[in-house]
Amino acid sequence: MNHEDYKELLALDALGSLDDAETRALQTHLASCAECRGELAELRDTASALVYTLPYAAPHADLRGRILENIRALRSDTTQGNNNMPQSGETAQDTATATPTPPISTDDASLPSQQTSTVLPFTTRRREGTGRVWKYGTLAASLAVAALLVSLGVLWQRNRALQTELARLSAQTIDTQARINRMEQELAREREAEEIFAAPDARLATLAGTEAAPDARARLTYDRQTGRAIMFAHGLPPAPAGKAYQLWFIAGGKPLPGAVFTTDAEGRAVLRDQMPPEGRADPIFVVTLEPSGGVPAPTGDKYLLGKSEG
Amino acid sequence: MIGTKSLTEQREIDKSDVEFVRAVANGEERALASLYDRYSSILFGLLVRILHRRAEAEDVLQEVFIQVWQKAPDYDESRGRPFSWLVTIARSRAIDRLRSLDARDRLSMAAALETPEVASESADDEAIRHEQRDIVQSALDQLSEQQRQTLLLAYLEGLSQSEIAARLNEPLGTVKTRTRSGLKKLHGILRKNLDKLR
Repeated sequence: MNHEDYKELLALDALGSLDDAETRALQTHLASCAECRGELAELRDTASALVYTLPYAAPHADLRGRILENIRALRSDTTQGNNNMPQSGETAQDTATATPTPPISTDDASLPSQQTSTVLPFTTRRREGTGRVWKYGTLAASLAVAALLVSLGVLWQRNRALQTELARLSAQTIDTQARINRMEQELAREREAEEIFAAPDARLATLAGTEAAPDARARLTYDRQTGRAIMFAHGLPPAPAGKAYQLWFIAGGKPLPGAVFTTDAEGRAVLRDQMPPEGRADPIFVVTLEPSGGVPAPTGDKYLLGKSEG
Repeated sequence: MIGTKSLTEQREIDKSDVEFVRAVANGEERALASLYDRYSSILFGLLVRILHRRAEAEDVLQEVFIQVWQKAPDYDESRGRPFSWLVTIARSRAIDRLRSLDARDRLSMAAALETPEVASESADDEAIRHEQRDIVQSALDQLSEQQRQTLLLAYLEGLSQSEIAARLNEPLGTVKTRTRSGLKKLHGILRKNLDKLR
């Protein structure tokens, strides 16, 4: 590939649209071409600007805290590990001598919850004639023991961190499962509603308010085949205590009882109902006010009335 | 005039973004929290667009910030502003997640099409955001319909060039050419205004 070919890849790379082979080839070229690196940076900034056209969205309020917790769990892992890298200006010497290693014991209470360094200070060798071999032997042994104890401490800390993480993840799993259940339920309800609207034998009835509620309106869609119905009502006055609205299907002169419902604070209601088989062939729909819990035959005033438009 | 005021502010914000990322590389949690506070809603907006589901988007948002934490030492200012780096991480994680879900999930996700909760923000932030959006939108409007479409499908929906070609029923070569020319043209138009954008 010549330079022009690589330049052709830049825009697609900025958009994240290159395949793996192309990406690798471009990376190799970029290592030695400042011109392309500069152009890629500008194209990347152009691409990311596209995000400004999207609406902002708010994630769950506790996400921030969870992320910070995760970070802390990660941190206590990396400082336990072989992390002798100096932080911002400190030298490795400083890290070794400045942070004292706390006494290691298996007693839970004595271990600090945040250990910042597990660098073992090296003792200096002493040069003394005959006792040298014996002293080195002891030194080696005590170093080995100390190293073992340090590893124990390290593993202990890691275990604690993992336990915390496990607890957190379990809580999160339960939370997520609850969410999934709720969403599945919602989805099932939405699908049900869709099926009603999309049914080949679907009918729409418009209900108008009576003198008891002149501003009330309702639209009721029902599937003559399955009898499933969904009604959106608004403008209904709130039902007084001990009372509720009830839907009726009038077919063959007889009122068949439907579902009982109440309205929200704004006088609206969404109702899903199952029409009895005898009531499915284009009944008259009526909503009355009844004792809460419903009744087998209508007793109260009519609030909404209507039938399908055909 | 708000344009001039926000221009100076934007330059400051850009500089401080770089400082935040450096601080994160240094292990400063508070810097990561600041980046989160500044950019989580815009990144979440992108994740919701690509994934269509809040729960997935929230999982990925967490992954994104963990990756930010871990990779901050690798951030190189000469490769683009911090915002672009964040968006790249967010896009990659989202697309990986999208591809790992099976086809059935994807269909039901597209059907779900939730409207995400719009983030609450101060009047000043809202004004700045509207200005940014208007700048980019009017630049986009100057592209051809086809260039605009391929750019948005590639970048904001996470479709590959082949997927776009299939969806638009166009040859792959044509799609690639349009994508390239579209982005270059957009770059030319936005060049003067890139300072005003975070």
